[in-house]
Parts: sequence; structure tokens; C-alpha cells
Amino acid sequence: MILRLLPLLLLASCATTPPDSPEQRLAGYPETCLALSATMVESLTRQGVDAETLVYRMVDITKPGSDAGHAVTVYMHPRGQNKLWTHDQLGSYRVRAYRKDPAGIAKQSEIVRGRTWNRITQAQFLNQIPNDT
Amino acid sequence: MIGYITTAETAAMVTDAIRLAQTSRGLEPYWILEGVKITSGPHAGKTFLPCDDAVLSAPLHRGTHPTDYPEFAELVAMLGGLDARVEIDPSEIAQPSIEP
Repeated sequence: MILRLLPLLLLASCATTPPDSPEQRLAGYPETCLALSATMVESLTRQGVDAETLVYRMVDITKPGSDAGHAVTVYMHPRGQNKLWTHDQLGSYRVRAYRKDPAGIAKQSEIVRGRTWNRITQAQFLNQIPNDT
Repeated sequence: MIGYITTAETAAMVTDAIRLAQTSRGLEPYWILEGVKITSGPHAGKTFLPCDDAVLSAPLHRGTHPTDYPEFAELVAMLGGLDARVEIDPSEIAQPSIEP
């Protein structure tokens, strides 16, 4: 059961991100990013696009003790081209990282969104998180 | 979640227009905005286009933001202006078939 809940635990602190950050608006919806990603992955997969959910945790280096989680959809578009995108509530940003490098993608995902103060502490594709079934 | 309730066609047109605004300036597409299908609630079947304050201030090329581009203002106007935005519950875009 703990393993099944891991994705939510990774995101549980969305509501603890600093005031005045974009995530503050998500405080009432701590699972918004995960729900959005699940929807995007299903939609993109139906279109034949290589897509999956990446969940990660991070700390704000300017605020000792901070801890936050986030989820983005990672996808390759257009098909046949080596262009990697990350999608969340802010829209899709192209990132330069290796498709199979969750930590590298998470790092670039934060940088392109202007959140250069965040340091990734944990990153994993959702379908690679084991469950207890 | 704050944004516009629209059709899939209109959302796709907005996505294409944002992509074009970048390529027409000789830039590789770096940021785009996509619609998300609404799966439940009173707007089920429609498409949600996120457009909250965070989207309006999303960081783009060289320290710019969407609101710095006249094309974006035109798109917002076409969608009814900022006052036409609505708030929906995130559960309305969640795929019930997917367990997080």
C-alpha cells in the first residue's frame, strides 16, 4: 500500500511551496499536476505520441528545510524528431535532456519555468514506480 | 484551475498560433499552450485552456512573458478577454479510468 501511495507522497507537499510562487495557487489542489498529467498522457498516447508522467521532489535552496513535489508530462513531439517537451499547468516547454534521464528532465523542467532556485532531490517516471499488486 | 472553456478546434488554433508566433520570429518553438479535454462536470466534452496568472507570466525567450507578445493579447481577446476566464475543479479534467 505504501508503494501504491508513493506518487501521492511525492506530491504531498505541493501545498508547502513558498507563498507568491505559481504553486501557491495549487495549494487547494495538491493533486492537480498529477491529474493533469494523467489526462495528458492518455490523450497524447492515443495520438501515438511517446508520453509519460514524471514525478519529482525538490528543495528551494533559498529556503532551508523546504520541500515540494511536482508532476509533469514528458513527451516527444513531433514524432520521429528528437525533441523533448514537458507539460504542466504552465503549458509545454521544450527541454534539452535525455529522454530516459528523469533527474535531468526534472532539472531542466524547473529551469525553463524560471524556477532556478529549485534543486531536484528525487525524480522518477510514474510507470517505473513499483506497486504492490 | 483558471482558464477558458472552449472547443478542441479553438484550443488547437490557439496552440498553433502560439507556435507560429515563435517560428515567425525565427525561433524554435519553446513554449506552447494546449487544451485539455474536460471529462466530467457541466462542461464535459469541451476543452479547457489553462490561462491563470501563472500562465500569463510564464517565462519565455529572453525574459519575456506571453503578455509581451501582441499575438497572445489577440488570442486572449478572441477567447473573450481575461474576464471571460472561469475556474473549474481539477477533477473535471481527470481521466476516471486512470488511478494516479
